[in-house]
Amino acid sequence: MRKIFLLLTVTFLLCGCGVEYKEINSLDDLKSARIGAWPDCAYELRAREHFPDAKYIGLDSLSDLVQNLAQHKIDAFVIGKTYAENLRNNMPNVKYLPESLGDVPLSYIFPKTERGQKFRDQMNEFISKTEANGELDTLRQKWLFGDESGRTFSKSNLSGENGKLKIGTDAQSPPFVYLRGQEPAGYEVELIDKFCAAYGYDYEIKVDSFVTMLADVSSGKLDIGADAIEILPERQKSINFANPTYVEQTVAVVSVGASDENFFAALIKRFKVSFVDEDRWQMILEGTAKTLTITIASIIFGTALGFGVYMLYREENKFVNKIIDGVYRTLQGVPTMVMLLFFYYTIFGNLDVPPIVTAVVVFSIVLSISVFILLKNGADAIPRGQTEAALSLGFSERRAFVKFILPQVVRNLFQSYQVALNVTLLETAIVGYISVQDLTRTADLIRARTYDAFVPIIIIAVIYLILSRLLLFVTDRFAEKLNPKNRRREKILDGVKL
Amino acid sequence: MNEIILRTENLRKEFGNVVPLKNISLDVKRGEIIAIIGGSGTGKSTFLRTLNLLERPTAGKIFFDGKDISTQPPEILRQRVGMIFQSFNLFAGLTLIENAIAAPVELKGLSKQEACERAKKLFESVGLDEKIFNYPDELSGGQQQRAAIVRALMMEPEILLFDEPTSALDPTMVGEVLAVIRMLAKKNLTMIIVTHEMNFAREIATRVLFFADGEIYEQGTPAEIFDAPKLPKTIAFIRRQKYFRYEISRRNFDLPEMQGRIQAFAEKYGLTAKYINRLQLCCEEIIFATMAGCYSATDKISMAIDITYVEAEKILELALTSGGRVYNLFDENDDENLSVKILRGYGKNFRYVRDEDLNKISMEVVAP
Repeated sequence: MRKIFLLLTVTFLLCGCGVEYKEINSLDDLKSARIGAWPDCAYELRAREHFPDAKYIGLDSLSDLVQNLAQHKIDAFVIGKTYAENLRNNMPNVKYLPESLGDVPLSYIFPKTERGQKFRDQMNEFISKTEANGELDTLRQKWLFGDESGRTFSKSNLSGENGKLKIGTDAQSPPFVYLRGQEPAGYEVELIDKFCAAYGYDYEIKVDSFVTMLADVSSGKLDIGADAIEILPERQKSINFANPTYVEQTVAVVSVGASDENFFAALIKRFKVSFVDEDRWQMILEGTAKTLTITIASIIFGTALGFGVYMLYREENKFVNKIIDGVYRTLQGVPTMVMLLFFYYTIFGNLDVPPIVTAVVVFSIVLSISVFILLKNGADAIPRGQTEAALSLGFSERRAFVKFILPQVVRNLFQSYQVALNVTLLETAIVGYISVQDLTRTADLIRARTYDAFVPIIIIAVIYLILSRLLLFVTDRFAEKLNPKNRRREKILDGVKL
Repeated sequence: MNEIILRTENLRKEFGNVVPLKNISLDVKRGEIIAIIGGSGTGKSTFLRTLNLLERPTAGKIFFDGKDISTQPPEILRQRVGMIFQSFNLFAGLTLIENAIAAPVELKGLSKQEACERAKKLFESVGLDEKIFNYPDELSGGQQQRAAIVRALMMEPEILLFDEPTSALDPTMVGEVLAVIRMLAKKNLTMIIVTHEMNFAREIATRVLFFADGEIYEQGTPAEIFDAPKLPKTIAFIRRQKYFRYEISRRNFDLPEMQGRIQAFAEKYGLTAKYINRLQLCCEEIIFATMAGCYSATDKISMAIDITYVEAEKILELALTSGGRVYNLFDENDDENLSVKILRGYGKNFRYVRDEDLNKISMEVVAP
C-alpha cells in the first residue's frame, strides 16, 4: 500500500514539471504551431482556413484540451469565444487571443423522425419568437456574458400535458450546458425549460458522453441533443439541427506561463477544487455507491448463473451442453465493453431497461463464464473415485456432487474466484459508456468541470484500491470458513454425545 | 443358507472395441466368500463394478435377491451392496466419523446420534477409535482403507464387494487391512474379493474364480485352484513363471549387454546381488564351454539361453539350446574342465537332451 502511494506521488511530481514551450502572443505564432481542437469540429475548420500548415491534434473534451495545453503537449487550442472567456475566468494560466477566426452557429439536434421533426419545427418557432421579443437576449446576458453569481437556475414546474422529452447532453460545455453541483444548468438548459413550458412538455436530462449522445439522438432514443453543437453539413446527414440559438466566434486559447504559486499550495488547492467545491465529494460518494451496487449485484447473479449453468451442464444432455459450450465460447471472444454496448443498443435497445440493470446483466454474464469454467475444471480435478464411493453408498450423482465434491472444488478454487470478483469490480469502470454515473464516470464529469484531469483520477484510483482490498478482506473471511480443519470438534458433532 | 443372493446371466461389457467382460454367468449364495484372481486386464474389476452398476452392462442380466436390478433405480441396489475401492476414496474434507455417518443419516434417515454411536463401535472394532476426528489425508493408507470398510458397513450391506483392497498399499500395511476382512469373513457376510494376495485368497475364500480374457476360465475351492489347477492358463498363473531369453549368433557377442539384461530381469524379481552374480557367472561359463564343445572356430554360431524363475517356488532354472556337434557339457570331468566344476558347484538337476539336431542342457541355479 505504501509503495503504491509513493508511486502516485512520484507520478504527481512528474506531472507538475513543465516542459519547454513556445509562448504564443499573436496569430502569427500559430502558423506552424500544434493546435488542439475537438475532432472534426467547426472551430478547427475555421482555424484551418487561417493556418493550413499548423498541426492539428484532436482531443475529446474541453478538459483534455486544457490539460494538454497546461502540459505543453499543444501550443494552443481553438474553441468558441464563450468557452474561452469562461476558461479565462476560472483558470489563471490561460488566456485567449482576441481576434476571431470566424463564426460558428450553434444549436440543438433532433432525430430525423417524424416526432423529431415536430419538435424541431416547434423549437424553430420558439427561437424566432423569443429572438423577436428579447427573451433570448436576456438569457444570453445572464449565461453567456454575466458572471457565475448571476447564473441561477432551477427546473420549472412543468405540467407535461403533451408528454415528456428526453434530452441528452455531455454537460461539458459551460456555460451552455454544464453541471452546477449535480444538476445540469446553462443557457441551452434554461432555453429548453422555457420551450417546454411554452409547449406543454415535461423533460428529463440524461448526461452521457458526446459520442453516445449523438448516437442516441440519431437512433431516436433521445428527442433532443443539447450541447452547444456546431451546425456542420456533415452532421446534417444523420440528424436535424434547429436554427442557431447563438452564433459563436472562434478564438485561440493559449498558455500564459507558469504561475509563481508554490507547488504544494497549488496541489492542495486542486484537491479542494476536485473534492470539496460544489460538494463534489457527494458525487464521488454516489459514484462509489453505483460502482459497488453493480459489483455486488453482478457477483450475486453471476455466481448463481454460473453455478446454475454448470449444474445443467452436469446433466450431460448432449444438445444442451453443445449450446452452453457454444454460447460461452462465443461470449469469451467478445470484449466486455462491446457486449455492454450490444446489450444496451440492441437487446435492450427498445425496452425501457435502466442502464444500470443492463450493466448488471452484462457483468453477471461475464462473471458466470469464469464461475462455470472454475467449477468445470475444479470438479474435473477431483478424483472420480470419491464420486464413485458416494454412488456406491446409494447417493445420486447430483447429491454426491453437491455434498462431497462441490465443497472441495470451492475450497480449491476460491482464490481464482476472488480474482474473478476483483476483475468484475475493476471492469465496471466501463459502464460510463452506457451512461451509468459510476466512479469513473464521476471522475470524468469532475474533470470536465474543473479542467483538472489528474486529481480526480488519483482520487478514484485510491477509492478503487480501497474497494478492491475491501472485497478481498470480506471474501477472505469466507475462505477461512471453507477450510473444514478450522472447525471445532463440537461443531462437527453438532450436539451428538459420544 | 443356500439361498442365492446374486446371479448374473451372460453378463457382457464393451467399451468401444474393447470387450473386458465377454460372458459371465455366476450364482453367489448368501454367506459365500468368493475370491477373484487373474492377470491384469482380464475383467475382474469391470465385473465387480457392473455388480453395483458403476458400469452398465452392455448385455446380460443381474439379479439381486431374486429381482432383476435393471427394473429399479441403481441407488436402491447400491444401498444394499457395499463396495471397497483400491484407492479408498474417502471423502476429503470430512472427518472419518462424518465419512461414516453421511450415507446412513442422509439415505436411511438414521438419527445423527444413533449413526455416530454405531460408527464409533465399528471404528473401535477396526482399531480406529482414536482417529474418528481425523481427516483422510492425516492417515496412512491402511488406516484409510479400514475407515472405508467401516463406511461401507454403516449401510449394513447384504453383500460386500472388494476391488483390490490392498493393491495401493505399502507392504507393511497390507496385513492390517486383511485382518479386518478376515474378521468380517467370520461374521458370515457375503463377500466378493478381487485380489492379488494369493495366500489370503486361499485362506479366506469358499470359492475361487480364475478370470482370463473376460471370462471365468476356471473355478473351484481354494484347494482345487491353488493346489491342483487343471487348465493351462490357471497353471501358468498359479506357478507364476517368469522367462528371460537371449540369443547368440556370433562368437564375439555383446557379453556385457547380456549380463546387464540378466541383471535387470533378476532384480525385478527380487533376487539378491550374490544370487544374481552367481547366475551371471553360470551363464557365462555354460555359454563359452558349450560353444567350445559344439562349434569349431569357423562354424556359424546359433545358441539361445533361457532363464526361468518360478516365483511361487523360488526356482531359478538355466537352459541353453545350441546347434553344432552332439555334445553334453556335463559329461566332462570336473578336474579337467574348470567351467563344469564351477557349474556343478552352483547348481543341481543337470539335464541333457539331443532333440532334432539341437543340444539342450539345463540346470537349476541354487541360491547362495
